[in-house]
Amino acid sequence: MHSEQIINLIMACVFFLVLIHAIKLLQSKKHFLTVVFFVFAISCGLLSTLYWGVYDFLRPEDRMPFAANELCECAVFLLYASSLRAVFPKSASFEKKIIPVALFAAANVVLWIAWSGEWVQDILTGLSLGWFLCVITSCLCLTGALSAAEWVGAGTISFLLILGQSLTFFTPELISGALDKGCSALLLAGMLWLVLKAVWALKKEKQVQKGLCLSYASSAWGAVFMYMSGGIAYLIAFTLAVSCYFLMLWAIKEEVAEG
Amino acid sequence: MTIFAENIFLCIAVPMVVSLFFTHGDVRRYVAAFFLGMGVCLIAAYVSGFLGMVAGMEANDTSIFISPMVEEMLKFLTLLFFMVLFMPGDQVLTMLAVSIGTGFATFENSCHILTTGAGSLPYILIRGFSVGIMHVVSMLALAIWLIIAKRLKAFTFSAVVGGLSLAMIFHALYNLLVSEPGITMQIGYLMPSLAAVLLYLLHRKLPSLLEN
Repeated sequence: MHSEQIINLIMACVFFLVLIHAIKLLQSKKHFLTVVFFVFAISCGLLSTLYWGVYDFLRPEDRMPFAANELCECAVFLLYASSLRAVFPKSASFEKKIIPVALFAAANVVLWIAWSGEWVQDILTGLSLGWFLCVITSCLCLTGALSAAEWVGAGTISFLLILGQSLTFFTPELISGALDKGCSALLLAGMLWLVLKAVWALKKEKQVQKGLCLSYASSAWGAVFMYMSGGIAYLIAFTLAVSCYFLMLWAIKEEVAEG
Repeated sequence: MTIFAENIFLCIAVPMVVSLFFTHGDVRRYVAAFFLGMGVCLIAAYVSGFLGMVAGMEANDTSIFISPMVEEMLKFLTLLFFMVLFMPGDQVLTMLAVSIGTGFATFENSCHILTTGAGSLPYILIRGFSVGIMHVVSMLALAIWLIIAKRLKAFTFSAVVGGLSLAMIFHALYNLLVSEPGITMQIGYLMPSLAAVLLYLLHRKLPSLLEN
């Protein structure tokens, strides 16, 4: 069993565990729509992971072409966004901060295409992730989860990430390696900051809605981290992204318990 | 062996179309949806074949990567056609979805049997219990999801994409599992029946789940 198969297996087990717990939440019938969308997103994630796992098992040498799992990944982001919007119906209102977030998503898509050359799946995934990021931004604004200084910090990190990753295409190997490591450090810092803030909001501050938004934001950042990393950085990103599923589940549980 | 799918379609479809003039209500809807399901199967084969050719894929790869997306999308569009045109209730919607899936599976199995022969009873049974049920299950799951979304007033783009993606990935996973002999093939053959049992339980629980 090689590393990718182990990663897929862990991912499938995590999705299965989260799914079982999320289905139990349906019985309380509080925030039903949020939980239903979350259950559906996790189901899509589970089947998509299984598809990857089976493909990797049957054809370990072949690169997968565009397939249903790509659409499923897009659906996961859209369903997460719907799950969050069900808690915050006013998240449809436009916030100025959405513009730089949309630009960040677009820049990510350009980088993915430059790395992989897969136009269709990268654009589709980028559109759905972009929409998810916009919904999160709107909800973070509504709940006031981030202070003005934190917004500036998040914007700076995002700008530096795009700049750093773009420069890797034009610089010698030694410098591009250093830039890559720098970007991974920034991604890790951003991820840890969001996860810790979400845990703090849920456990210490008892501000469930703020914690919910931050947990979804961690998950979105985890996806960006994974898509932007390779090697050991990818494994770290994977571990943190997996922990985000539990964080989201915890936040939804708290929201359901609050009623 | 070359088969002429259009001819087979005509042969099965003609008595169905005639029967539409002598039936009413749910029976007519069932037959019409069944007939459309068969038509969708024929069109899906053309579209998948064309896309496979454009992508330079072999027949096996086309059935693993392209067919699930094309087939589920076309089946969904047929269901959407009924939904928009007749605005059916939950029960009728479920019946239409099952009927489209059954029509699709019937026509696909007919063509498959004509190609490979029907000499082996065990294989025919496996085929019936796997592919046959898989098309019904994927459509039923989609219909249940659409009913939930409609009831919760959440019939949005995300909800539709989510339901459709789930149907596609289930179908694609089945096609991938049965593409190679061995344990994966056996799991693949069992998957639709297990999913059918789970869906049956969910379908029974649905009214109480959606109360309030």
